[in-house]
Amino acid sequence: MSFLRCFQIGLFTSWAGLAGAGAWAQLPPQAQSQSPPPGLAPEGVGLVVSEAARDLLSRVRPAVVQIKGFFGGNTSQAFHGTGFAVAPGGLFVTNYHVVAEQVTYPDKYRLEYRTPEGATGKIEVLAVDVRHDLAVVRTEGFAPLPLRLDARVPDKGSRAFSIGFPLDVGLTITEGVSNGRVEDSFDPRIHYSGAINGGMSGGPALNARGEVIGVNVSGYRFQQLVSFLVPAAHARQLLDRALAAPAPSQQLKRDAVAQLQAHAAALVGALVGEFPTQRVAGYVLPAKITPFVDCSASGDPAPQSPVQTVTIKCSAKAGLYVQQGLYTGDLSYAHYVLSTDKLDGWRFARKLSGYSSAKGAFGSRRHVGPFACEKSVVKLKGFDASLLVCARNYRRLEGLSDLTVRVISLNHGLQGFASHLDMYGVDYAAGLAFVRRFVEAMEWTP
Amino acid sequence: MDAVRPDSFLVEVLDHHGRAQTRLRFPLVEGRGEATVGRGLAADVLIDDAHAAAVHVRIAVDDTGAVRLSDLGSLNGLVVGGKREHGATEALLTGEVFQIGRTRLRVRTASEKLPAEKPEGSARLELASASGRLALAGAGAFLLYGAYAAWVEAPRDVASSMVTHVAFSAGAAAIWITAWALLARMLTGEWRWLRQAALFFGVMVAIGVIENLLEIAAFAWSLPPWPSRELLLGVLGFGALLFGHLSIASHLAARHAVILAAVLPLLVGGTSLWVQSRSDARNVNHIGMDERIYPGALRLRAGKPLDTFFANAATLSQQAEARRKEVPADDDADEIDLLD
Repeated sequence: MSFLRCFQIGLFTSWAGLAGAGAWAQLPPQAQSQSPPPGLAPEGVGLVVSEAARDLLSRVRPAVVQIKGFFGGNTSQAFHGTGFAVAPGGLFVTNYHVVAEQVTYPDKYRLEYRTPEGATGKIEVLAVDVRHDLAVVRTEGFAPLPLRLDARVPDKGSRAFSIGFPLDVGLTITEGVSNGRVEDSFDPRIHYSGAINGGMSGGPALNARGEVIGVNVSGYRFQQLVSFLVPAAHARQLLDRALAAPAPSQQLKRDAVAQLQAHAAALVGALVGEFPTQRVAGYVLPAKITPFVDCSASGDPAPQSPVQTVTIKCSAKAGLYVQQGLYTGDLSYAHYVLSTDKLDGWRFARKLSGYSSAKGAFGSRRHVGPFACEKSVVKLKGFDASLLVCARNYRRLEGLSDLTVRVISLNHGLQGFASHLDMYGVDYAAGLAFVRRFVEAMEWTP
Repeated sequence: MDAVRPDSFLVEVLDHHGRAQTRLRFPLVEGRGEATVGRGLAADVLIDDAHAAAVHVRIAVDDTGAVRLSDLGSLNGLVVGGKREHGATEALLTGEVFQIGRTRLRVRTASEKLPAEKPEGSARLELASASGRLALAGAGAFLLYGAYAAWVEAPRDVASSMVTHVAFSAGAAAIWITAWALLARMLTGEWRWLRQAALFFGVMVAIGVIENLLEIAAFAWSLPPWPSRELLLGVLGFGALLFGHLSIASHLAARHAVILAAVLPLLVGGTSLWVQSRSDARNVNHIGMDERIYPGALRLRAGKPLDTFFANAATLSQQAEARRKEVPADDDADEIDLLD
């Protein structure tokens, strides 16, 4: 659903005014101007420090730096995250989204590191892995002993620690539990039950032996301690690539684009096969079409309104953060199934019209062009429906398009549905083929 | 026929509202008489008009009561019966009014026809008249439509929603009609309530009916979207209203009213259409394909096969590509190309 994507974008740009819970969000590179004063830091930020944590922190501390981005010649930071040493010679791992602006606009942003002791110096990006939100960087004039990577995913219930610079309040360790690999996620993630806050992005998550099990990446904002790590195996792979062939800065952008295209292709490629469907008020509609798509269905158990509405919303949550205001490679859809025993067909049709507005996701003119649309009444299985398909192309990511689809049933007087399907940053032909299978799965079975 | 004595005729200089500013009586000898009009002392009727000659025109009345005008060599000529004539000798005055320079004059002879005397209290509304009946019927339909618009949305509280809708419509109509009636009172000296009301309600109901029929037809035959439909109807309705109201409320010549009623709505509608389409075309989030659904029983054309639809949709990406190139990003000039 489009609002979810807007919501994610919102999390990157603003701390204020975000209502609702359960939004999946990558941690923003903490923007300086938006940091609350230290005294107002959210409750529970890195306060659980056990004996083990203290020992671990003192061992790991020399290998962790804060990574700061500056716009132009400013001496105040634009964003910041965390990085940790993984190889001799000052090679550090961090999140791609911490360095994304600099990779995209190398002439406009510069990166610096800052050690816990306060030493600073320049940073150069060597390799990026957009799909897993990782980057390998080299620090100038600072080469601590690297941390060890443990490529195995820890068992559920293992103790784990996360280190970083949350909200710019200084080096922080949080203690929690690894809950193993996230089930049914399109991109591999470890579920960490501990606090990760903005600014800790790119920091290491460690097991009790002090080995890196993952990289801090994201968390559900407004939920308690549900956070996510990128498994260390992916950091290992990227490091090997960086060591073998560090990319010049122009190549980094090309790599990023190619990885986005590959991710989009992988997403659409994962949507093959028969769709599971569900039947609501006589209509058969696509349900949770793959394991990594999350669906929720809601209705009104004691309806006061003359129209009963069942809402089914599904989202793949597979989108990649490319840069501010730009996500690609995601999919979401929603069905609004309406029925009435109180209204006549004339007024019921008017109610259904209220769901006809196709909005798509919010896109910035900087990243996408305008929509082109095709609309017609089509024959589906057992009923006719109004079908609208709109597409717009990305400006810089060649071959990627946004697709927005709306289906409204036109057959019955007192039952009907409107479905909205949005795909972000996918190959048009592959996306359209999916759209066709999506509408072909719909059926009227009175 | 006794308003003017048959042994004299009157020349009146009119103001902008067509009322006599000055009135001069000239004798008829054996049914004939003459008077000259101009700016100079030599003229019988003096007018303060920089666009008139010193002695501009001679008015001659003959024994049949016919009035003839002779241009006495003016630069600007005469306007008789809506036509300007230069160097006219013996132009026959049809009607009573002619113009020289910027001044209108009326010649009144014994042959004029006076309307009957109006009884006192005739200002009350004559609801039984044709415009009265039309106004009443129109008002009824207009308010009914307001009630329908509330009902069809099936709000929680239908009654209050309907009352609100109807009250709002009635209030807006009252303001509109009063404004035009006031203008009519100022320009013509009469309120003309019923004709203003009949016109307003008639046009509004017609527009409402046409809009709904078009919408139902679009649904029934699955017609392609026509986004400027409402605006076009609005322009037509506004033009019709403007023409009607101007004709009722002023002495504007019909062709001037037509021009005004065509130009003003087209200007407003055209400008807003241009601004809207331009902003829509540049808005990368604009889709604007909202649909008005009616009961399925009204549909008269079967849906197309999916193959046809997807064959058409296959070219969407190229269309989108063309549009992407048409509409540059704001910061294209200094954007660093991701792919450079």
